[in-house]
Amino acid sequence: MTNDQDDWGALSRLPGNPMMWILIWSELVIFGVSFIGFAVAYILHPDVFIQSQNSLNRLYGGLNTMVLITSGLCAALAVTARQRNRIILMRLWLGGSVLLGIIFLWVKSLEYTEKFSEGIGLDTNIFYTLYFLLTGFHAFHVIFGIIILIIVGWKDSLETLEIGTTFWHMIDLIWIILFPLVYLLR
Amino acid sequence: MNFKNPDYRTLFLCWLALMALTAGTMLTGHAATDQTLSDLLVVSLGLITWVKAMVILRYYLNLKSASRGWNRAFFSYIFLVLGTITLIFILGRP
Repeated sequence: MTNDQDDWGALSRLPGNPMMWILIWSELVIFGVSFIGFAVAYILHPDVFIQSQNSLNRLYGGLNTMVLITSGLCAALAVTARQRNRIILMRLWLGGSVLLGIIFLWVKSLEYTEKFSEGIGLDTNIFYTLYFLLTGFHAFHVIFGIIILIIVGWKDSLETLEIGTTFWHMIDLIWIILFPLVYLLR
Repeated sequence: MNFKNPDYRTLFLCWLALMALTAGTMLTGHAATDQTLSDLLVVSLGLITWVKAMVILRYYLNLKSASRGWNRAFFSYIFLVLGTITLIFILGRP
């Protein structure tokens, strides 16, 4: 990781670009508040939430968790490879990360298609409104993350690679909390 | 500060731990049934999720090479969010 961040005060004690950590904190706060809001809504409408949550495919959620975790591993390995000046290996790991990100989106699209074919949408009930908003907002981050990973893989720079992979791990971190909250807690 | 990323072996071990913990999450959350979770299972889910988040932060995001203060800040924040959610589920259930 770079050591030229002395002007950032306390933020210079974090690995990678300080601006990315500011973004990470912002995202964690936004998602954190949304997650607590989801839990409160559950308590206010327990019957609707339990009935709707039981119609979700929990296997898809678990599978996608494993896909993202593996994708995160590939991204972390890409940084380690780049720090050892193994450029081709770095691109291979990054390619794996992107591919797994696409698989995540594919599984998510299967899930959405299943729901839409059952006539379930954003306005079906409070659970599905929050379900589509939270998972959709997260999926939007995955799409954006894939684009970033492609760019940082193409541009050969350790600093930009660290920025891109840090963003990707943040997406991973958010899903780690989102999955049990939306699919399992009842 | 030394911000060297973890080596390949450490990262693979973390991945294995995360996969095992995810399997633990599925089992604890009774993913195959519609059974309502007991308070103990709800707390267990919260704790497993917190441990997974810590592994991602410390190793994938390399937070272990950052200062102790930042580690505490992240760990505390995630604990606060998960703790609040767990408490809401336990105390607010009918």
